[in-house]
Amino acid sequence: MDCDKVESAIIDELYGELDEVTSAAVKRHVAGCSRCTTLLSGLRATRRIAVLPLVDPPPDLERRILAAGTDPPIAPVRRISRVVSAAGSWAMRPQSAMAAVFLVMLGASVLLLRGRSSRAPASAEMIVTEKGTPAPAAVALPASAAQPSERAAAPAATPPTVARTTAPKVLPQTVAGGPLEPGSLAGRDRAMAKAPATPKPEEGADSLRTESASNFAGAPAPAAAPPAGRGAARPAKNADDLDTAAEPSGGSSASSNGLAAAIALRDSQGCRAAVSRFDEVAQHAAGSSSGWEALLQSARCYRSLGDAPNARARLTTLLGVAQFRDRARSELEVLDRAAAIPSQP
Amino acid sequence: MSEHRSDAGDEALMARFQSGDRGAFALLVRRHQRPLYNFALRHLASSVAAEEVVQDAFLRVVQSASDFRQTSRFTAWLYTIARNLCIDALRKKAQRPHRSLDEPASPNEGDAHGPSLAERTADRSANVERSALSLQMRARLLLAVDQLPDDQREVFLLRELSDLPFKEIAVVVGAPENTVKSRMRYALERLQAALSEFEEYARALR
Repeated sequence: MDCDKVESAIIDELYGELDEVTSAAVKRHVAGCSRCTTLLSGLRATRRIAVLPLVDPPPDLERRILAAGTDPPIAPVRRISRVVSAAGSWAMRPQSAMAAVFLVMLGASVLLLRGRSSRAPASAEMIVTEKGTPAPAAVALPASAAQPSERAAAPAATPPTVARTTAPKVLPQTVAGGPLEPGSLAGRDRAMAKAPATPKPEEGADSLRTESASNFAGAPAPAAAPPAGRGAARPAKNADDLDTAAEPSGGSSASSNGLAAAIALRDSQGCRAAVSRFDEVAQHAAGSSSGWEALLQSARCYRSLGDAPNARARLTTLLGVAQFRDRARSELEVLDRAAAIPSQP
Repeated sequence: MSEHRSDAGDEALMARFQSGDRGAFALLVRRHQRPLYNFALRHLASSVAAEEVVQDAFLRVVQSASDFRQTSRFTAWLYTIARNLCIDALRKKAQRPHRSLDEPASPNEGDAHGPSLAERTADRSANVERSALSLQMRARLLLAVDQLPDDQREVFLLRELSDLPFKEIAVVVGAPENTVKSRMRYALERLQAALSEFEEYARALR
């Protein structure tokens, strides 16, 4: 080792940072080199006297430091704040705002749909009736109508009622065998039914209870026919109701005029032309005296036209109306007599 | 147990503090506040400013504890913080007149013959065992250190006061290790020249 190398390593040697081998080499060189010996000894002496006095810090400095450092490390908080900041900046993007608006709209739609369905359950009926149309009690059903099999075999025996019950589709609004056109009823009463394809008898009865009397129970809709038990029980009550039913105020004069016009038409052109008019009046003014009168006149026309089933159906209906019961009964007797004559040999 | 804890390395204590051990931080403060305070005191020549630097440095340690990596040396990290604080303090101090260590304590109060700040500082709590120098030589030493160039003085202080190895000093001052050693040698040579009249006394201390 030469002097240059010793000079470059002299500080490390002075502070003991040389490894043992290098330190030994330096020591060997210094021992034989007066210049390096002077250099190293001079620095050693300087370092020996250049010992700075250590001053004690104020006694309360440690307490102050620890007091300032007693708060929880801020780093985790800073980390959280960074995450929150990043999430906030991400959430404030326009895409996020649009997505949020879309989700709000979607949620509101779902809530509205659910609210509506909860108000109107799937099994509930939605019935729309024409404004001003009276809602009389259900038309009394004849006992024969209580037997679905009989009604199916002889649809004319069913009263001229159309049941718009809980069939899933718009039920045929036909009048049993009569000239009452389904289309004429379709525009009158819109009964939208949403129910099982084969409604229970109770539902059929309920529908009759709630629907207008102008809805005629048609024979082609056996599903709408009430069971014998309830169907038989209800007409009595309905008959009472019909007895006390008030004349519809709005359409009384119109129905009277219609009835008069129908009678005039019958007188002038005969029953074939007038029977449909009577049925219309009977339908319009159902529950009123004009309506029952029109139904009676319609039955007479059918009888005169030889259509006994339709005539019988209407008269049977009228049996449930107190003020027309006698006349209907007498007309039925006439029908029975007429029917009995051909059957005799 | 406490002894075992106090013997733990700075990095181990720092790791414990990062996981929530307040006692580890107290040990670090207790271990380093004195040399750090002296480093700042010699750097700034103001006990008040030195206190602020020490307090702020440990506060930064608390605030930036999660940023400390176990692979680093705690002392290098701590003194880097303190050095930066000292530089900031010196910049602020440069904007207003300040007293030198050799200035009388109360020059404006007519006490021109009172002890200088260096003398008061040295007298206040000097470690007698560490230094057997006379008050005169001590004052000359402090004056010589104060007159060192900044880059040499900080290397000298870090080495002599804080006993940092040159490798860590290089990290603190941001200079190559050989540059640090050169600065150290220049500082020693300047001090040797300033304290030449005490050289014989120093050799006698051997």
